[in-house]
Amino acid sequence: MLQQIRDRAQGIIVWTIVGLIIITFALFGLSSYLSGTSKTIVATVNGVEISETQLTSEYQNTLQRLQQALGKNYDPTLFNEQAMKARVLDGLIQRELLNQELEDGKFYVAPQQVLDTIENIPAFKDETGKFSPENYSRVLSLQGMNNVIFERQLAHDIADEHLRNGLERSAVVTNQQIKRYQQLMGERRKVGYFTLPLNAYLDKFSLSDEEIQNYYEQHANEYSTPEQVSVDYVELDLANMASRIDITDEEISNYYLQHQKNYVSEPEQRKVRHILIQVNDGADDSAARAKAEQLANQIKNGASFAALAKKNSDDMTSAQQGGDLGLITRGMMDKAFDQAAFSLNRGELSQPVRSRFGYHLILVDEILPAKVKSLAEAKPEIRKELQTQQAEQQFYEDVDKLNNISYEIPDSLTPVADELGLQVKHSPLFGRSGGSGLFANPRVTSMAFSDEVLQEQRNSELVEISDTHMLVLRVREHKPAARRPLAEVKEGIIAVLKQKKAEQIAMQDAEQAVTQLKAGQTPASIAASYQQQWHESGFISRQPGDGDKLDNRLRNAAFRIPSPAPDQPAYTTVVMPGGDIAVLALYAVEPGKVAMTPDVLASVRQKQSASEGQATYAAFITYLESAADITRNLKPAEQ
Amino acid sequence: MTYQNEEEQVQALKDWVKENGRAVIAGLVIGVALIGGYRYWNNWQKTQSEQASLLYVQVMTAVVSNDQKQAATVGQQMIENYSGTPYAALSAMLLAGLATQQQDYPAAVARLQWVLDNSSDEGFQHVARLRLARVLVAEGKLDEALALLNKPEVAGFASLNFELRGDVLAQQNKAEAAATAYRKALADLKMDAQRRKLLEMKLNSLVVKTTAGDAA
Repeated sequence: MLQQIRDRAQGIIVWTIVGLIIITFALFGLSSYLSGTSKTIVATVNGVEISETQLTSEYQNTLQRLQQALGKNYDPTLFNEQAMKARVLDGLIQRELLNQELEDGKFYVAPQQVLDTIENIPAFKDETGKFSPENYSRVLSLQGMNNVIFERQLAHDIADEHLRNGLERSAVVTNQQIKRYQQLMGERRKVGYFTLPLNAYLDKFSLSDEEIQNYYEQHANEYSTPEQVSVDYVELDLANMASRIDITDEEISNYYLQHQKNYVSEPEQRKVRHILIQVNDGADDSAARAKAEQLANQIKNGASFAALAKKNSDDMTSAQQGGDLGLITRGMMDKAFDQAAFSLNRGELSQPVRSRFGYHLILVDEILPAKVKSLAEAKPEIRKELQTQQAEQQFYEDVDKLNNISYEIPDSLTPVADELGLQVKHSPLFGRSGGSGLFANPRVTSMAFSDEVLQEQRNSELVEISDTHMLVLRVREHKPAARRPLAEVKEGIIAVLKQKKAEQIAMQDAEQAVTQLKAGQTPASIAASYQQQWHESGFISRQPGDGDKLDNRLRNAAFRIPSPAPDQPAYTTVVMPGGDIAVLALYAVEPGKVAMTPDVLASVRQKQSASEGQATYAAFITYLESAADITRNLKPAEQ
Repeated sequence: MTYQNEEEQVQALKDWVKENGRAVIAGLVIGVALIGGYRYWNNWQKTQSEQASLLYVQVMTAVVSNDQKQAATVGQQMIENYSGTPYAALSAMLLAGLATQQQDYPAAVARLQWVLDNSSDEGFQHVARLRLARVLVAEGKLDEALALLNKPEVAGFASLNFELRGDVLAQQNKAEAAATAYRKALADLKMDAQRRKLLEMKLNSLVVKTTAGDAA
């Protein structure tokens, strides 16, 4: 085979092959051959893959944002995970599409713009409001990001903004459009109407028992009680068990003596002074140490610590106070400083202590010992601690027994309750959507309505309310969904049916009235034939105003009819709140007044321009989507 | 083929090199030249686009603050020096919007026509075409505008296109045709309450000769 290639390796073929190989590597690099790890792909956009890992991490971010936005109202069970993931995926696809458009369209951004943007991000600034490189890298690493990725994404975001702004702000709005807009918004319409009150129809018919029965059958769901269960359960609660354990006063006082240090109400405080000889780099170290030692000798020979501190300390603030740092507690200062300061006696001067700042001489002025709670103060705390300690082991043993025995003897809870010395408790009835107290917990309800418990009549698995609170339950009583008897709901059904039927008949009358009006009969005579009066409202606007208090349903209806031809009123029927039916006539349409003053021009232009601009950008994105080759490989959302 | 000894092998190799050596070297040279050229071209485009992005910010600022003179100056620079970048097309559209505001329709037409003639981004072309039609309508060139709009539907832009067609037809007093266009615009509209409202107003202001009274 190789031989054949060699034999046929005529000049032009060799050229071409070598050229192609080189070009391939130059364009795609070696990386595309090396990164062959397998991963699950949820979508591809023009050949670019979106992995499940990406989707999951973006999904988590979305949940986190929701959690922050909703706070206490956040409830993960409100979201259908699949549907939500599909939406998140749509977002990722759109972002990738936009990235590709920006790359294909050669939308580059000058590095200067990226830098300017970074310098203006508040999170990267220090206390003085200046950009701080340390903050920049710290914040990025907190987000698990590095600056290369961040800056690349930022450049994309800026380019996207350029694109969006360019399309949105370049909207063309002609004066003609502004004129038309005003004519439409300010349009006025002249209408007349009369109303057929529903009341007049309620007693115009009778309902047969058959109709009532039919309705009852067809709406069985609305007239039934939901499925309910009550359960027996055996409950283990650590807090409860602990509270029943007796602890003697002796045990408490022993424990107190052994663990006194843990019952501190205020920690030890020390009033200290120091002199700092700063060390700027390695070269300074021995010089600084020598100076500190020399100062220590002066003090031992009777020189005033305060005076020397004022003159020599590199800690400017405390130097002014004669080196006084005020009261400190353990952990406030550098570790070495801390250790020295808390091992000195009162009035004793330390050896030079090396901290990360330099050498310190430390003097302790005063020691305020830690305040410890008295036995009486600590007693309730200790009792609870001891009770929980002692109950804990019993609790876990009992949980094991509860789990095992209720599983081994699945048709009763009595044996396990007897074994544990507990009562079998009874719940009230509750439905699938939960009851109150323990039975509002979705873990409890879903367990009670599980096949195993409800159909097979077995003890449930262990239900964990919390780490220290568990129970096992079995169904005591099962009330299947039941239809309420007809007699009980008949009155309600009659009311509903009457309303419906009256609306139908009133609507027939209204439609007949429209036909008569179109045939040329006068509105006044038609209204009178229904014992009603015809109202003329004059010209009305889209919004109510002075002397124009027409009902909004009628107003909206009037503006939803196409304009009538001259002398040919248009008619429509309108269902009013409460079920009354109105017959409405539209006589004339008058365009709104047009004002082309600079103010009006500017304000209408701005509205129209924003609307057209946004619509254009949205259209552009939809266009990109339609032109792209997108495949989704996500399990469809369950409905 | 088998070789008798080492010498023969060496000789065969020499022969092969003699026969094909030039070709291999030429292939390498061409390959390297192609890569170099491609890289250089890419780099040049990138630099151009980066520089254009800086100027674009100036164009945007001038247009947003309504500074005619500055907009014209920087806009002209953009179109002269960076015509190959997407920023030139966007700048031309921004200038067209500004010209329309000044009722300088011929200038707006020229800018938008420039985008149609020069931009390689088809999306931009669809946007520019719609806007050009809008300006032509304002100039009273209704038939020219319709000719631009009567193209096969483009996904995403259909609603805007039908709305504009409706506007032209309404102006030509072709109420039925206008109503049909507005209905198509509404049908293709996605979530955009503001435009829906305006489109319904436009539709209901038409005097259509179908039987009235059944639209509510």
